[in-house]
Amino acid sequence: MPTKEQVAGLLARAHLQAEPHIARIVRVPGDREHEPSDPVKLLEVNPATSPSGIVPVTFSPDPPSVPFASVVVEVTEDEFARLEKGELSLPDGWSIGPTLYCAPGT
Amino acid sequence: MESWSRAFAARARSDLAACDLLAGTALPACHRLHYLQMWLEKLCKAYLWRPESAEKDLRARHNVVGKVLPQLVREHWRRVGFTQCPDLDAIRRICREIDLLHPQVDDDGRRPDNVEYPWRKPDGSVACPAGERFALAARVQGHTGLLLMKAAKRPTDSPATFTG
Repeated sequence: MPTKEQVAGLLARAHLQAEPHIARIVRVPGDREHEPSDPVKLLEVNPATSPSGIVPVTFSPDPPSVPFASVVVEVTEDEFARLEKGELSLPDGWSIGPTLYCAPGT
Repeated sequence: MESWSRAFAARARSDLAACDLLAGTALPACHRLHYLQMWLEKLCKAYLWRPESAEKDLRARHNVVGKVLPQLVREHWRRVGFTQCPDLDAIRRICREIDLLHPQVDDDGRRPDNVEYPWRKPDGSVACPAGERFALAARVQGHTGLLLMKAAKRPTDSPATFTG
């Protein structure tokens, strides 16, 4: 069975293939990350999305390639900057984790 | 007990049924578009991560189709194995227009046109939705619109909702 890290990479690649203009994709670990029931969470900086704040969207598992539930949070570049400054916040227990993709020049 | 997510999904299915029913009538386009907007808004809300504190926000919020539906479409395409994804930017533009059908979403007054209530036009006259032609009615029947409708019907018919 793939790990959460592998699933995160698979989803990130699929999302980039569908939307090559995505500027950045980072993992969002939660404080229950070690539990299989805790979803794989991605934060995507997408210039094409609307500036609507933090709107996490949930997806069910899709085994065998995606055996975990997943969550995607799409933000604009400005919203990502506000997240980094602490002016916007993720849901309780979630944090900005390792970067899976960063567009050249970003 | 029904979860919020499943309840929104059930209402989305019902709105879709009404939308399809209206499509076969000669009623003005605003009625079908009204149910189209309600269907897709409820569908999107069924997929939102919902901490308990957000219940009120979930009911009151209307501007979600443009933010959420393109992600549902993208995930649907990934699951069915599309290797050459259609133009998601065009999908996003249609989704934004669907949000604007709601009277409370008007781009700071720049887009008062909506499918429910009369509005004042720039020339001072008052428009009635039932008497207006909506360009979106044709766009949702074009190639991109049909791709969007097809992708949205799948998660409506068999929603992958979470149980929060």
